[in-house]
Amino acid sequence: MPAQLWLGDEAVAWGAIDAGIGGAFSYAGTPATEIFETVEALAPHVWARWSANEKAAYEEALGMSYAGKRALVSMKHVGLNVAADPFMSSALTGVNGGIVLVVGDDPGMHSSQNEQDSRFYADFARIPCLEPSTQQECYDMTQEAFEISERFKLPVMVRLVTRLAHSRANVSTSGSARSSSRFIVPRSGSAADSKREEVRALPRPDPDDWTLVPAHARKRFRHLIGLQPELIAASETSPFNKLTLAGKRGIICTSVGYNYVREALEANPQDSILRIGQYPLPAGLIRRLVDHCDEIIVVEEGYPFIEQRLSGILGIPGKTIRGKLDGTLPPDGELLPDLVAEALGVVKAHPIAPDSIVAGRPPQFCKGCPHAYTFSAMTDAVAQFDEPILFSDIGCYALGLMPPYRAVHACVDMGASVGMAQGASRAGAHPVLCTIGDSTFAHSGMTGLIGAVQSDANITVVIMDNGTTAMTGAQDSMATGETLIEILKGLGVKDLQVVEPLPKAHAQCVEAIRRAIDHQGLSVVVARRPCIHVKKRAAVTLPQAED
Amino acid sequence: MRHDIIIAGVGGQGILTIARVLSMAALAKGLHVKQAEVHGMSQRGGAVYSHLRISDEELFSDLIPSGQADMILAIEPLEALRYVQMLRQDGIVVASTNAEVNIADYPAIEGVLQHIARFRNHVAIDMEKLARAAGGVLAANIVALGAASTYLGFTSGELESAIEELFARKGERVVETNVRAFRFGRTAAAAYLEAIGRGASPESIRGWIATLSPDHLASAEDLDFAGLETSADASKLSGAEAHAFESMLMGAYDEGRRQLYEHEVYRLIELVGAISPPRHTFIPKGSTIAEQVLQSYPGERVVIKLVSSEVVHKSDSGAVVIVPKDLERVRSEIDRLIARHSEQVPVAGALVVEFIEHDARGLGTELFVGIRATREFGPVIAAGLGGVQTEYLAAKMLPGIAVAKAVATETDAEEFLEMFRQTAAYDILAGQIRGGERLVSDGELLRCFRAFISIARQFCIDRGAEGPDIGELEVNPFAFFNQHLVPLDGRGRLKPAAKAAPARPPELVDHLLEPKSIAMVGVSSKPDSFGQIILRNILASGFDPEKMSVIKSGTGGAPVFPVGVKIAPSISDLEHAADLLVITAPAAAIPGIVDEANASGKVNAAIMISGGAGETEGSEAIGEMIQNAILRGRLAQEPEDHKFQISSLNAAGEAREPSIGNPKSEISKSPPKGNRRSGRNPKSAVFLGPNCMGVQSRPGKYDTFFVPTAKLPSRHDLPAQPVAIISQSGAFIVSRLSSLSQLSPAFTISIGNQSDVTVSDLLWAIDRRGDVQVAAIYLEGFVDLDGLETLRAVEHWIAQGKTVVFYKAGRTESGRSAAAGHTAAVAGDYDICQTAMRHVGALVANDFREFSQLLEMSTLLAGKQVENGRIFAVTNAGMEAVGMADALSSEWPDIRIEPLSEPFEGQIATILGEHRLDKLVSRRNPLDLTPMASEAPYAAAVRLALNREEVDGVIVSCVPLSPTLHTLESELDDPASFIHLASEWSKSLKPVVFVIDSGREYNALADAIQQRGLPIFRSADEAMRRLAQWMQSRIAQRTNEEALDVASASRR
Repeated sequence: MPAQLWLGDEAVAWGAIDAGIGGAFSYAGTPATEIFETVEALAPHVWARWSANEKAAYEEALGMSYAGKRALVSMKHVGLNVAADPFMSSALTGVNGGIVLVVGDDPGMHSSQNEQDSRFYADFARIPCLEPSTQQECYDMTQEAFEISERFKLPVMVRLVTRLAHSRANVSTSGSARSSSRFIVPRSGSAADSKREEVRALPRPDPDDWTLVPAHARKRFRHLIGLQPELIAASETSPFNKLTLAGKRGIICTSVGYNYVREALEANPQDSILRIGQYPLPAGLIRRLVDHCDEIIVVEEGYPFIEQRLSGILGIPGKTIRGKLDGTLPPDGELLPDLVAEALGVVKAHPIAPDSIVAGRPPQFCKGCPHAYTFSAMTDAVAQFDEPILFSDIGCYALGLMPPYRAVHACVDMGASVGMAQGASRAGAHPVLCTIGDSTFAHSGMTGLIGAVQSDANITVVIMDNGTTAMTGAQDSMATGETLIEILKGLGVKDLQVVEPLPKAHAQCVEAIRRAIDHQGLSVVVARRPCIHVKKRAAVTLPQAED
Repeated sequence: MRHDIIIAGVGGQGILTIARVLSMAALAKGLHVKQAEVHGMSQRGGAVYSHLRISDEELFSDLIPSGQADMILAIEPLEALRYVQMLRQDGIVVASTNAEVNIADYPAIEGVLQHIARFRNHVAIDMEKLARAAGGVLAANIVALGAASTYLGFTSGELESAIEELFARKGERVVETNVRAFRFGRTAAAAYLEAIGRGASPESIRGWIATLSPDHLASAEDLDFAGLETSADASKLSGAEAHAFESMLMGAYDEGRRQLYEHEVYRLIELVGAISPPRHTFIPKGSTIAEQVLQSYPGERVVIKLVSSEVVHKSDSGAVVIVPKDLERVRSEIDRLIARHSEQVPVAGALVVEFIEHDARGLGTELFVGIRATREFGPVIAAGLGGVQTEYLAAKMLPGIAVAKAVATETDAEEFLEMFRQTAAYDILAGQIRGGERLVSDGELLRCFRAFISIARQFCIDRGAEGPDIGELEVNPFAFFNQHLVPLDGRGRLKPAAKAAPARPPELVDHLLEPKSIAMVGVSSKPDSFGQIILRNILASGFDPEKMSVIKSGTGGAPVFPVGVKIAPSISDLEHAADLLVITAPAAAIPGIVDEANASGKVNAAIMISGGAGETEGSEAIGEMIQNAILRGRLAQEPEDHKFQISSLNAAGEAREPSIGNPKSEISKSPPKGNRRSGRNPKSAVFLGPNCMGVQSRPGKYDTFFVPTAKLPSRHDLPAQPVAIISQSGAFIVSRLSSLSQLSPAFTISIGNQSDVTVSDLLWAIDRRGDVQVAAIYLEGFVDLDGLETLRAVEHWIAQGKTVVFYKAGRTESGRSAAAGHTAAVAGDYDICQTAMRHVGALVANDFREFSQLLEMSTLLAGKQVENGRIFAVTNAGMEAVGMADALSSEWPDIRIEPLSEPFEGQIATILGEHRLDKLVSRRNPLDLTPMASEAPYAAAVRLALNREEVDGVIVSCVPLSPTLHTLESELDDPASFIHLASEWSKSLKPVVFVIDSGREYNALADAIQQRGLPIFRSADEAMRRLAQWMQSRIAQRTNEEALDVASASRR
């Protein structure tokens, strides 16, 4: 196959497709969204449906794995918090068909609420983690991850960062996609009983392994611990971990940090370099580097994961270890070629000063966005109150925090608004409103709302139903339109109004929200109008639709 | 090879598509690509960018290190600037000028564009507009790609393939639109770079690009940049600007409009690159201003003006309002303004203009600058005090003080600024009056004048195109803001293109001056008829009767013609060709004779004597017929001009024989002829008149004047003087000749209606003879653009040290009309003629008496040398000394009566001592010798003065009643008499004039002195004024001569 120009995300997707996955599971989240979308769009033979949330996605993948097929599950870093429950436990159950969990971390928080480093999750769960530096490695490592997953019967994490996920480069592919036909289920009896020839030859999984009652779980945990030396040994010999000994300064680098080191040092680095792409950390390689060098600089994207392990509490006598902990590199934010060059003492000229005329241009509501009108109505509706509390959620509508609305007082995680509202009302606040999108509501808002319905919390939930997951590029929503209404009714919502956020309907919107506030107990207002981009796309096909 | 490119824009503009196309093209070439994108909130109107790296070697970082980008490619101008720190020192900025104003603190777009223009390598064009032209505004990103492509190592084909591939799934139309958008961008950027490279302003080149047709834009690599050739002449507009101009003029003209709207005038002057108008937006009737547009205006208020071809003085007509910058308010005011005026006049719309708080400080702190195409002189430029008082001030102040004006084709900006410095406007604007503060720099004025002159030279005259000329273009007023000119109102007028008739070949005009043979047609038998008188006068002048023929058809009657004169029945029957044909037939017969003369091929030149040939009421038809006959002759044999050929003449045209040599070599010998084209039928004759007295030629020994010798004695006994008098009025000539009895010009020419030969034709022809030093011209009107050609001829005369005395009648004729603008009011045709002629060094007479005096003086002083303007005067009367000093004025800035230098004064003291005048006479200039002086101290003082370097001209004045002087007719023989001194003085190389201010008893003295070569005046102050005028013109001539040495090559 000729070279392709792929995003890191696309390369991962193709790596998975070519590894013969039977399914891809995900909930949209930048920067991981395009992984699933690529599979969905380009591999019709692979099962791919958006899941309601990351936890559901992971569990669906797990099920597919148990049933013998390879499964890809992808999400953004905070999505793994949602999926942490099945993820942590799957390390104990192990897998049947390979599971590769691709996590898109977002150092620099381009579009996230934190910059947590998923390598800690992999370490936490004691599973292998692969960390590509290039798009080519995204493809190669994803394929290799499935192999590792099945070799050790463990889920394997591939950790991406935004910069790599959303950057394109040339990728060559093997071109030989393997078929996903490892269908095998754990049943009492032996494989020899299977009606299917090819299955009869395979070892039969033991269903006890996958059933984490305490007795089984203790056994599985010991098994997992026992695997660790093997995993480290695999890292020592992995082609993705590469040690080059040269000068007395050593550089340990991972992910895009490796690229920036090479960019700064150009063709012939004088320094010793250990480039790490596979975890658990290859202790032997690290020891050889440290022995060879006087000074170690750790250039890793994310938290100082390696650096901290290297220096521990006491450091290494006689060796200087530098990185994010000693301020050689900034402890937060994204690595940049300039920062790395500076850390390595390579100073390059910056000939042109930033132009002082430039004004900031933060993201804002698109012209005609229904959210903007909903917020207008809300701010008018609560204007008469001294201390309204307005919670919000994850989505475009978080922009309601900007002037002139300033209608977001808290935004924490997916679905949090409903729960926070209920809590605030229990503290005696009034009025308490929350805004949540239809997709976020489906993701995690419903669970909070069930509680609010049951306790009839005196809050107003405004569900902004724009029919899509707009912020990540308009993925389908699971709880929109009449489906949403039925869900709400099903959850037991009694005080329910639907309005259309339009300038001409401003008075009705204000009135509806005012009425909802006045209602003692839980009330829900659905502000329903499609996202303008969804509308546009339906109308015409635009050359710019790529973006 | 490596390209590091930052692609920037606002979410939704499609920057990733640009990156995608480039990446695909790179991939197809097997290059390495890294392309970092921003996803997530990219559709939310925020700043988005992509780092694109393309290389033939392995790339590591997905991000471009700071200071290393080769290019910033931005679909939004502010976004281009956001990443400048990424750019390397000599990096390239390619940006759209379309501001996406979705933030409150978006800076003024002008500032943003200026910042972009600071990059030596930059392209800043209106990409949305180009995209719209290509088929859809959404393709602006691909326009940007096209613009950038000129810098990238890809062929158009490679990138177009990538575009086709990328858009293929969206259908053919989308592919087409985007390929076209790519080409538009590429073409526009190439044009922009080319123009920027040679110093054109970004505004002007953007203006030009805006006028390119889609076909032109789509031509991509095949674009012919010939139209963008840089002119060697810095003041000339580039092809790009000229093209933009042309499109605009044609656009308005094709709409049937003759007036240019204010915003169009702004556009035109902006295109020239010198002047930035205030922000303005034209709101066509029926539409309204967009909120975003209004918000982009600086300040709190805006001005709304009516746009109508009928409303010239807007502020007088209530067509201007100033309103707060409030959308609803502005919209309603626009509607109200349009509605209010629509009942009375046609309204095109409204103009919303930035409200400028300018630095006005009372009367005279605004500037007016305008150009106007005059019928006679072509475009003129005028500048003076602006505002509503422009005309009033121009009328009430001295010429040259209120308004500077000049013929635009003959003036450059530096020269015009020099003229403008003489005006009151300059004094005020340059802060040279009490309490004044400089409002504008000379450099700014210079740029402004250069702009207007450039426009005038290229769009008011000699256009070659059939398109309209700019008849008028003016800005009144310019206000001042931080020493910059800011136009606050402008108007313009279009008119059909003016063309000068081709110059008549001087080698043919020569035959009017010195014909070898003469034929006459239309001579009646009556002895006192014009024809008979002329015939006799020709022969009486010494013309060889053997070379005379008379065309006389018919039979019978006694021979009425003098012996020797040949008689032929028709022109074609003439035995030999006639150098000159004198036509005395009635006007109605002239057209036929002209045709016959041209058809015969036997006539080189002709004089049409008869009047009633177009100049009088009722004779216009005949005049036109004569004109047409001449035109037929001129064009009949020009094969490239088939459309002008008149079929009835074809047969007649066959038989002609060449009458002159190779026209090409003849033309190359002819004097420079400015811009008049010499395309002509080489066999057609030239025609003088009609309605003229013809020619008195001393070298040619002939005289067609039909004045009996008794009434105007012939001057054959006097030697011919190197003088030519050219007059439109025969009567004027004969009156002058009669009163100036000692005048004996080599040529006296009455030109009549100038249906063919014009005053400039004659000037050029006489100029090249070399035997004439002084031309005296009396004119009532020039034919179209012949004023300009005459001006050039006069300048050429004067540059050679010759003198031209000029009188133009028709002061009241000014080309003014109710609809005309300020320029016509302050720089009328007559004013321009006077100013321009004076400027090139002609002696411009204000009345007949001055004309006579200047003519006489110029004749007698021909050949004198003038270094400077220092006059020494000697008199015997105190009142004359005072009167002479008083007569000097600022009109002749170089003429001075300087105090005596110490050595000069010492020598004068000696003379006074010798003549015992030292007790009576003060040693100063003018030197008043007192009535006690005889001729001897005069002689000594004048001799001394003529030998002193510090004296350039001398006036000798006497009140002849003093008993010590020999001034009566009876005393003239005395050896002491002035007449002997006159002989001595007239030999000096310095000019000396003599004044006798007294009655007819002293006419004999005056005549005797004049006969000895000194100009005589009968009043001392008049003598001072005329000498000053004459000397000033000689000084101007010297300056011109120097200038001409330098400029002749380039200007002509």
